[in-house]
Amino acid sequence: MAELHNTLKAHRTDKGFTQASLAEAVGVSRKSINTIENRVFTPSTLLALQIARALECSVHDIFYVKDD
Amino acid sequence: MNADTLSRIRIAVFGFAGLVCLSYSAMALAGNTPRPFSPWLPGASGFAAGLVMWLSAIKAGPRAAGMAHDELFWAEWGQAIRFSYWFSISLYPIFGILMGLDWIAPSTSIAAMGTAAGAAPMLVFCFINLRS
Repeated sequence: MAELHNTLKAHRTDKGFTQASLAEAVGVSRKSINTIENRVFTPSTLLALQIARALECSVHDIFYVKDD
Repeated sequence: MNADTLSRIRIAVFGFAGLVCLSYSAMALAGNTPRPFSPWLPGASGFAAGLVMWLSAIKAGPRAAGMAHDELFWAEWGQAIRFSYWFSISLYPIFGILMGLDWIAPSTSIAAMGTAAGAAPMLVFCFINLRS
């Protein structure tokens, strides 16, 4: 079954963001960033694109599908 | 006041109002009375919860309020509402049986069902939010 994985934590720390500062930049709660990183919550396309824009990379660099 | 503080306030007031409603329901059932304590309290606690959240959101400003009510909040609230819908539906046959067996009076059933149905979305939201 295909599952959505992400490298958000690595990209976020590379760009010098904390969870709180990325949440502020994107306009969501810190918990949203935390739950996305931990794969508890799957973001909408809009939020995924906003995160990618804040981190100055493609959404495909952060989110990818993995077949288990 | 930031979005995290607003989220914590939301959990506190939802938890408080939910527990008041749940207590009313449980005590109504335990005492087989439709009025275990003032029937205004469950409604007043819900109103107070809404008022506190509204005033907190105004104090925090529209941006922080929007961040606190982001898509994660709506997803979790949606889960709580879906669960509570089926929970509330399930109360009808359960209480129907209890009334049919003459274990509880109809007036007690209405009081207990109404407050249990009111408590469910708030407490389930708290559970989902604190678990994630």
